[in-house]
Amino acid sequence: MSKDDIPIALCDEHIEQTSARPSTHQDDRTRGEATKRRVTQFKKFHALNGTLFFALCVIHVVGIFFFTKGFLLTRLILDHKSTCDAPPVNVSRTNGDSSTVEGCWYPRKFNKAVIIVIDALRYDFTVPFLPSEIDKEARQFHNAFPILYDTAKTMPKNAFLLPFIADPPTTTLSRLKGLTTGTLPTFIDAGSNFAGTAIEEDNLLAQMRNLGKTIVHLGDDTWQSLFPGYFHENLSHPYDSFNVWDLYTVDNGVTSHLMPLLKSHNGTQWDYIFAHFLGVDHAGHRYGPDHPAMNDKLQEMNNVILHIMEAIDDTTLLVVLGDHGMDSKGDHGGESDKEVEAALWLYSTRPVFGRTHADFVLPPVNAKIRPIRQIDLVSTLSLLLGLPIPFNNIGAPIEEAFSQRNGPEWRALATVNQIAVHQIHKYQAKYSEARNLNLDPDPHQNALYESALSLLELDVTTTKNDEARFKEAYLALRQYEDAVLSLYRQLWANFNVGDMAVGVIILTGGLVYLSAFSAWKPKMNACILIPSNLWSGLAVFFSISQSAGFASNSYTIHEDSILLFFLTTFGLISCTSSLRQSEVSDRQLGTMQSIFFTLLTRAASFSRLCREEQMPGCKSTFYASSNSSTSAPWQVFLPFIIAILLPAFIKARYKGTASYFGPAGFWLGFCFRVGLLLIAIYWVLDAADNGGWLQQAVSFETLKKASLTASRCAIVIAAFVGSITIAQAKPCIDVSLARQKPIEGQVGDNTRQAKPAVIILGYANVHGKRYLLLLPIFILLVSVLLPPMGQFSMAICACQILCLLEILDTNGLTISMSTSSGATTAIGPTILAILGSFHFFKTGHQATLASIQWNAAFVPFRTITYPWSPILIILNSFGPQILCAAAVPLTVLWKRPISKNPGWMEEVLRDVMWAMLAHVSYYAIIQLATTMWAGHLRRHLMLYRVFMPRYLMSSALLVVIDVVLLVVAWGVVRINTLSIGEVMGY
Amino acid sequence: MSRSSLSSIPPSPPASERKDPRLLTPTTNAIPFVSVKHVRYYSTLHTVAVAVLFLLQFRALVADPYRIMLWDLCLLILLQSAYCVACLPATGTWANTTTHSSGNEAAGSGSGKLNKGSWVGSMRKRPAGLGRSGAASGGWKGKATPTIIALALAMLLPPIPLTVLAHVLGAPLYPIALILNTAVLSLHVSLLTCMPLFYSHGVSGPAWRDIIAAWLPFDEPGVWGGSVGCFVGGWLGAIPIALDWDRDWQAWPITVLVGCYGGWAAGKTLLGPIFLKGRRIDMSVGAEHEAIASHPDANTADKKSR
Repeated sequence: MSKDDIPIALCDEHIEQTSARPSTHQDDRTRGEATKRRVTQFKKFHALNGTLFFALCVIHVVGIFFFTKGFLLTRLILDHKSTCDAPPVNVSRTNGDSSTVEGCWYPRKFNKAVIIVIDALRYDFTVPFLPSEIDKEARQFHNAFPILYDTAKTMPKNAFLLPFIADPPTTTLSRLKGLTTGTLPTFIDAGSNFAGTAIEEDNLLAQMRNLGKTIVHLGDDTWQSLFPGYFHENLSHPYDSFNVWDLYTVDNGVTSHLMPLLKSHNGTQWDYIFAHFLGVDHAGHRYGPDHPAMNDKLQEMNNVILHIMEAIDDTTLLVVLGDHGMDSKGDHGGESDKEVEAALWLYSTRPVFGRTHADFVLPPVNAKIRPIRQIDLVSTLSLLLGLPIPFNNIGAPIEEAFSQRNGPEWRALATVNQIAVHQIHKYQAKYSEARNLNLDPDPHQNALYESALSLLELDVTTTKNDEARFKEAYLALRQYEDAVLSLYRQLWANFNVGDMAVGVIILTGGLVYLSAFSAWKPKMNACILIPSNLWSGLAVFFSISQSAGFASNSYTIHEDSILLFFLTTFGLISCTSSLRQSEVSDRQLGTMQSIFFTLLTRAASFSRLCREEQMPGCKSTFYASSNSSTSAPWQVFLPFIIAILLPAFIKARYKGTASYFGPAGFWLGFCFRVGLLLIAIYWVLDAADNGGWLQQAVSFETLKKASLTASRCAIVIAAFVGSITIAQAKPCIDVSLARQKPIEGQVGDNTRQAKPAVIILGYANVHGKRYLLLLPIFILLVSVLLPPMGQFSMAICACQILCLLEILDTNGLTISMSTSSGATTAIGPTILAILGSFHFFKTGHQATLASIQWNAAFVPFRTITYPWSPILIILNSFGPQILCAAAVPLTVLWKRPISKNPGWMEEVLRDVMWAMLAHVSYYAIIQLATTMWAGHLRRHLMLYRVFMPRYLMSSALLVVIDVVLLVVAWGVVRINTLSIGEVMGY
Repeated sequence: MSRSSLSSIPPSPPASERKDPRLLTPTTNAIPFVSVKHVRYYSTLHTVAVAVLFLLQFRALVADPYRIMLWDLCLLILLQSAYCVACLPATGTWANTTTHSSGNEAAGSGSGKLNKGSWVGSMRKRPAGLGRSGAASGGWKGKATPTIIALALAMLLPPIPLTVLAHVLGAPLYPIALILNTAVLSLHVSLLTCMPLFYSHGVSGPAWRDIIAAWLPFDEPGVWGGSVGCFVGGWLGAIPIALDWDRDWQAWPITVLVGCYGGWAAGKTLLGPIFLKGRRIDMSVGAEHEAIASHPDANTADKKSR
């Protein structure tokens, strides 16, 4: 313990004052008025600075808004609709099969269709497992769903199975839009995922409805929000889609309603059925693909499909498709290979399908071979079912569906593609007109179009059916379709550079405002961004060099290693600096804490959740394995160890300065422990539920109730008891009377020594120890939402904050601008920000959309509950950063000496505001850098995988940090200072 | 931090003469060259020789890091030993620390540190009784013993903390074989930085306290400059590893080793012989200290210390 920590203060003056001078009413009144004036002045100052900080938040939000508006892609939606009686090109309506001549643009092959969407059906779930170097043994998700592959193999004329590549973002809502309109999603579509809006543009279902068909929908209720009023009301049964912990309700409901409809006597009630199963997706989200639950689920799907195959008649088309895949731990949303590789399977009891080549009979062994695009489904289904192709479609008909059963029939293929191409051409003309764009500058593309058409023109004039010529025409049409598609891919990646520039300028302005604000009041040389000593230089160096690194995808991907590198570098430099301190206690404490800080950083780095781009060479340890999203059994013990050690560790700090008084005992000694214990119990119950440990003894429902109770109690303790403690607590000090010993070197008269002295215990850290009571609230709130490994990381984060504060104190780096010896260095707040960012990665997150832990929303609730669920997700995702932001005022308050200056309270506020600005400057610099890089690299191959998610994350984070600093840190400092003023004198 | 928690006790004694009252005063003097003709040229030649020999091996190093690193180590032992013998004063033959009763109470003489002339340890023999005055009588034998001792110390003591340091900063722990590479890397660093320090400062407590606190003055032979450069270079050398260029030389620990050698050569040539002669790395933040911190040279020292 440092000499500065001497926990007592001798206040003999006070005694003398009160005993020597009997107070009069006059005195009381004047003193009361002075106090009141001081408090008012303090509150005014607080409000003024709070407002100025709020202005900074506003600048951030406005800047982010402008950039996002220009950056996130939008697509103009055309209102045109295709109609049955106006085909884009007249083709001969009779082909070889004269039995089916009905149909709008092309003779239809099926009257009815059952379209089964199995959410997150990845392609490798459906094909037999082949041992490879990466996967030597079959996992739980392998070989559990063989029916699709088997039928395609044994009955190639009745069925085919193909990899079905989704266009990112791989969220269900934007995928359903793509699957029904046949057009590419743009990011704005994905933005409305949680509040699905009706599709306005022409689509497959609208065409069905226009022809007076009855459409039935079962399962995921996203369909209802996309297509309101499209479905038959009595037959349709939507189910809530976001309760990812429920693996059975949706699927059982769909199956139980689907099977009766397929019975022959019900066959006239419907034309098309859309059934959307969610179990596979939910099993992936909850457990990850490599879990027995996934195996069960896939086998269940296998049986369901088998029963449907038996039930349908020969005019019904059966389609099974995955809307997207899932990454190795079962989540999706991004554009990694595993997330976009879904499966598509078409089946008919009649032999109607074919292949263009003998090698194509077997389904591809992996999704890299002969993949088709998801937008291709719309034109395929339209033509198979005799519907007009939706106006906005830019997909091409699938080859297998139109190759006739006896060898390739090039004529049919050329014809269906001719229809599709003409429709695309029409769309292109309208789109070009609507947007005032000249869309056909590409001569190559025009040449393809012309040559294909000329080959088909010949068809009209010559009577001879030349297969080779049709083949040539077909291939030319396919090339044209590919060219159009790539044109639109580019076009819809069209950014509004003007808006983006405005956004960047505003955000830069925010940074200028921030540095001006920081330099304004206290001292002119206190500007955060202009370093004045080694430590400030270090802080700026960390922020700037990391920002520069975001220009490279490698440094964005390996951000966690960089943060580890920075934190340990700080630890080593502070260790060196500690050794220079002249006070022995400072030197020892500082060195010890620096080493401890460094080792803790390294210890936390063993908790990792790798992103796909980090592989190979990265081993995930956050969950039981890299293919799961549940914790390993041994990890269940971690929360208990934390519940024992962490409160003891914090308590030791209070004892160290003799501050373990007043509210500290109840809140830290009792509530915090109980809260952590409840969290540990919750995660044991969760593990028991996931692992099926107590299946015989306790019912699922009891288990669920018990775990809900545990988590809710923990949250109540944190939120309510914690807030009341913070609001009402007196400073952690105690007073005792003692006979004063003579102090060496003090020239005192003998009479004084005889008097008893008041000893104030906990005097050395009055400010800090009271404010520190805030942190357990956030430790509890965040820990309850994180899996055990995340709690381990949070506990380390909390310990590191305490180490950091001791390091700052022993090296004279706590912020205090009012005294001559005080430091103005941003290192403390900056290291806190880096620490928070580091633990973001250590709590199982990455800067990707897929790494959001949606499960956190179901810790205290059974279903999605607004507005709490989004708040829980934010707490789970940015928990470490929020904790560190809440700790920022401690870099000012920690062991801050009690000042007797009038106006010491404003000094505290001024210093805290400076610390907050220093803290937010790290996030603002990172945000500005990621924004600029995302804008600059908007044509980069890795934009959507790496740069855009990082930009989204830093923008969201900046706003969250702004709010936490303003509401929590700034608010609690007010309460804290007033409470200390009340005891120590304003 | 609280200056004094006893509110009734007056603040610590007047600190007008001090640089920063919080800090100790470093007592170690800068290492001088031995007074031999052409020693400066040899020192430069040594730097160039080490750098060139290292570069010549570079291709082989990429192909087989572990073996070549061991081979390089042998060369380095010979070159560094020769350098120490030829250029540096052995421990005990010069006054390596300013004698103070204790760092804490030596506040008064702290200002003297900035006076020109007082920073270089004199080549005068220390008064008898302070140790090996016998060994310091020059001659081959008097040089060989400290060299061997310095070599042994540098090979045995610092590599272990240096290996730990590398791992703390993120050196890979698996495959396990890489730990050996890291250990050899720290042997290289130890020979580059610690061996001359052991040779000149021996195992003097105050000197090593200042070394660990990175508080030595930059000396003319560039021993301290080379050491600082080696660590800074190694730090910077870790940066290219993360890039996805898939080059052979991105393997651990090649880039760090290159950084160490490059930084060492640059630091040895520039820091001390040319810049910052006699200055020390400044880590203070105190307000009184601003005048010194704002000195251009001192600012350079700040940057280098990262």
